[in-house]
Amino acid sequence: MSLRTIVALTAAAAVLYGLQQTRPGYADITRPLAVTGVAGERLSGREFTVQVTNARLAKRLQVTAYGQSRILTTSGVWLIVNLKAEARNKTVAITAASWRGPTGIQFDASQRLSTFPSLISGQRLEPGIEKSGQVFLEIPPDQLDGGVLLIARGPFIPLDSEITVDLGSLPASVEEISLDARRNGG
Amino acid sequence: MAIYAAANPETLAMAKAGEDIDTGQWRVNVVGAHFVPAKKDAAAYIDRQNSVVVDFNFTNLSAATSNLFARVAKVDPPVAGLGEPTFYLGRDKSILFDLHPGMAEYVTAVWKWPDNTPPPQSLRLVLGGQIFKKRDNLFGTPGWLPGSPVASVTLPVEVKTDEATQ
Repeated sequence: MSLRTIVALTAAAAVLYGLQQTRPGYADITRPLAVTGVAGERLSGREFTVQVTNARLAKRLQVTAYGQSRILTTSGVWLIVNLKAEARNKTVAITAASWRGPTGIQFDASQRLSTFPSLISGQRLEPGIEKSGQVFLEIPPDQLDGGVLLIARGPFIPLDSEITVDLGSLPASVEEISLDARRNGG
Repeated sequence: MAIYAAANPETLAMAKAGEDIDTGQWRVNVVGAHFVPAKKDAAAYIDRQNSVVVDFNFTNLSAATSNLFARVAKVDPPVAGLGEPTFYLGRDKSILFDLHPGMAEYVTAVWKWPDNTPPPQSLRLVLGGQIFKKRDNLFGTPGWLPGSPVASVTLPVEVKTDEATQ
């Protein structure tokens, strides 16, 4: 093997290694497309439109649904987000909501209320018919400031819209919030 | 190097109950174990089964909500007929789906114990590790993948008759 071949092979290997280390990975190339906005604003993604109407914090939730009442505590704080949503072109569901803290840590919506009727993820959204729903999250208090709410059709849908909502300044946490399925959450 | 490691496996660290163990994605602390005999006239199906209950403290050390805590503890040596455990959240006794980053939770795992197997005197759990890969081998996506075992914990198993399984 001549010296020239060895130099060419080494250079090619170095270039390929550099490309492997610096080019974006599959997850970056196919990541969701962010649509950013603030609470109260109507934000449109590819398949749906959402508008956050209200966000509250509580240490406990008192949940009444399906004939029973229970108290849900958390080691962090409950974030209750009320929102309105509507499909754009065809029937969709928006099943993924999460909170991205100031340092990028992601908290998915709590599944401890996964059967509660007012959840937005449990509803079918039709084009032109606006529906109200809720999202419940458990977040440590130090992750609230500077965080954003993320809403998408599903947790792993590449190249689809992900709505990123800045909720602004949240109200102080109250001790308990009552949620009643018969009053559509409340 | 890999051949040497395979020929000379490191002995698995033996942890005590109540000791914090870092498995990679989780900080685990095994609290204790007990055996709950079947109550033949109980209303709930789960209470009519023999079960082995292990209590844990789990903290998610990763940057995202995850349900992979369910794969951390394995009964070793395996018991014939033993399935996967059901996990309950200590704070509201309901089935646990996933754990959020940095939020420590008391978690109870319930194994349905096979009818034809006598109750265990002690239970050895092997705690599996997880490694973070920035790019996995299939898609190049970041994620937590199973690694080699981190520690084993041997727990005495008491029989508790008066307590409900969950």
